Amino acid sequence: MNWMSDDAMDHLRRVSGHDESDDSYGPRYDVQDEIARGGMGTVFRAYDRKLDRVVALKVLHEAQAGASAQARMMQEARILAQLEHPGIVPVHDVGALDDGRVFYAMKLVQGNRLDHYVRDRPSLRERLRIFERICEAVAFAHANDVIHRDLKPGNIMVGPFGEVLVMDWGVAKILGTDEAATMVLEPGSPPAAAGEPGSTHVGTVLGTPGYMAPEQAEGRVDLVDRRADVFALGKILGELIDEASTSPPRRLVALQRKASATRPEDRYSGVEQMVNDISRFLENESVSAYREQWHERAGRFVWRYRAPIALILAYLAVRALVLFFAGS
Amino acid sequence: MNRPLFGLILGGLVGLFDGSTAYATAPELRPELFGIVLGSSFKGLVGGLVTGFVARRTGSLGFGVVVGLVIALMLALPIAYQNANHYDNTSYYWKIILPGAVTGMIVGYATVRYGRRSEPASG
Repeated sequence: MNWMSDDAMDHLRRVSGHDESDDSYGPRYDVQDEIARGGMGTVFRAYDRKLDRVVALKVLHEAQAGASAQARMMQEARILAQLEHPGIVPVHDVGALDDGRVFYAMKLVQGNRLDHYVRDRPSLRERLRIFERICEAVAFAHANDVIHRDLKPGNIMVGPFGEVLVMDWGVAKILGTDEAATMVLEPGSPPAAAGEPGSTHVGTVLGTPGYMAPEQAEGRVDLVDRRADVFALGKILGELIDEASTSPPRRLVALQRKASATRPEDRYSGVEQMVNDISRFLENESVSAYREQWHERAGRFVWRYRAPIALILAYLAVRALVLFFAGS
Repeated sequence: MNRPLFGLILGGLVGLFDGSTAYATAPELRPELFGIVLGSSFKGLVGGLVTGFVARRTGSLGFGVVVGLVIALMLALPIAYQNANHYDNTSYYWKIILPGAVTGMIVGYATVRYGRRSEPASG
C-alpha cells in the first residue's frame, strides 16, 4: 500500500494552489479528505476557493511520480476533457504540485458505486435502464476512439436521481496510438499472466482481474479494442442480472454471454450493438443474440400486446354473449 | 398521428364494425341495419375524437381506458334508452351498452398508446 505521508498531505494542502500568481484568495484548493485510492493516484475532496465549490482532486501517488505515470495522468485528464458527455465526469483544471506530481480537478460526484446503488433496487428493469446509460457513456467514448479498459462496478457512480457517471479513465487508451507498456493494477490484485514470450506488442497488464477481457489479461495490447470494454460490460451485466433474478430470461442471458464471450470475434462488435439489444429486450422485442423458437416469439407477442389483446377478447366475449342470449 | 385524429379514425372504424355486428346479434333489426351502422359509426367518430382530445397530454393508459369507457357509456346510454322504449324491450340496454363500453375502452387504450401526445405550449 502506498499511503501518502502526513508531510506529503501538508505539502499538498500548501501548494495545491498551483497558480497563486493570478488569484488573491491564496492557494486555490483546500484539500479536505481522502475519497478514494486507486492504482495510480489518490482522490481527495477539496474546496475550490476561486470558484467557491467543492471538487475532487486526483493526485498521483508519490511513489509513482515517474515520467510515464505523470504522462498517463495528463493523458487521463486530456481524455476526460475531450469526452464531454453527461455520463462522463468532467475535468475542471489540471496542474502540478511543487514536487512535480500532476493532479487534476474534476466534478465531485455525489452518489453510490453501481454495486452499492443496485443493492436496494431489485427490479431487473430498473437495473437494465441504469446499464443502458452506462453503455451510452462508453459508446460515446468509443465514438471518440477512446476505450476505457477498466470498467467495473467500482468505477461507475450512480447519482440519487439515477444519473450515471463512468469514472477512472486512468488506463484508458486512445485507439490508433502506440502505447508503451505500463503497469497499473488494483491494490491487492494478483499480477496477471504475461503474454507469450516473443509475441508482438505484448505489453503489461492494465485493468482489473475479473472484468478484463482475456486478450487484455494476457497483455496482448495489439488485440485490445472496443470489444474489451464490451467484455467488461458483459461481466457487469452478468452481476446485475444474477443479483436481480434467479431465473433470468433466456434472451438476456444470451445477450450477456455474447458480450462476455472469450473470443473477441464472438462478442458484439461495439457497445452500440449491445445497447441496442438491451433496449430491444426492455421493449420486449427480439434480440440479435438469441434465436427464438416460434412459441417463444408467439408468447412474447402476446405478452407485449396483452392489454389490447385482452380488450379485443373482452369485446368478442361480450358479442358472443349477446349473440347467445339473443338467440335463446 | 395526433390523438384526436387517431381517436377519430379508430373510433369510426370500430363503430362501423360494432354496428355491423347487429346483423348477427339482432336479426329483427336487419331492415334498419344501414341506420344502425351509420349511427354506430357516428358514435364511434364522436367518442374517438372526444377521447383523443381529453387524453391529449396524458401518458397513462389506464386514464385513456377510463376516458374511453366513460365517453362510450355517455353516448350509448341515450341510444339504448331510445331503443328500449321504442321496442319496449329492456334487453337493448345491455345489448348496446355492454359492447359499446368495451369498444370505448379499446379506442381509449389505443388512442393513448398509439396516438402522438401533444406537447404543452412553451413560453
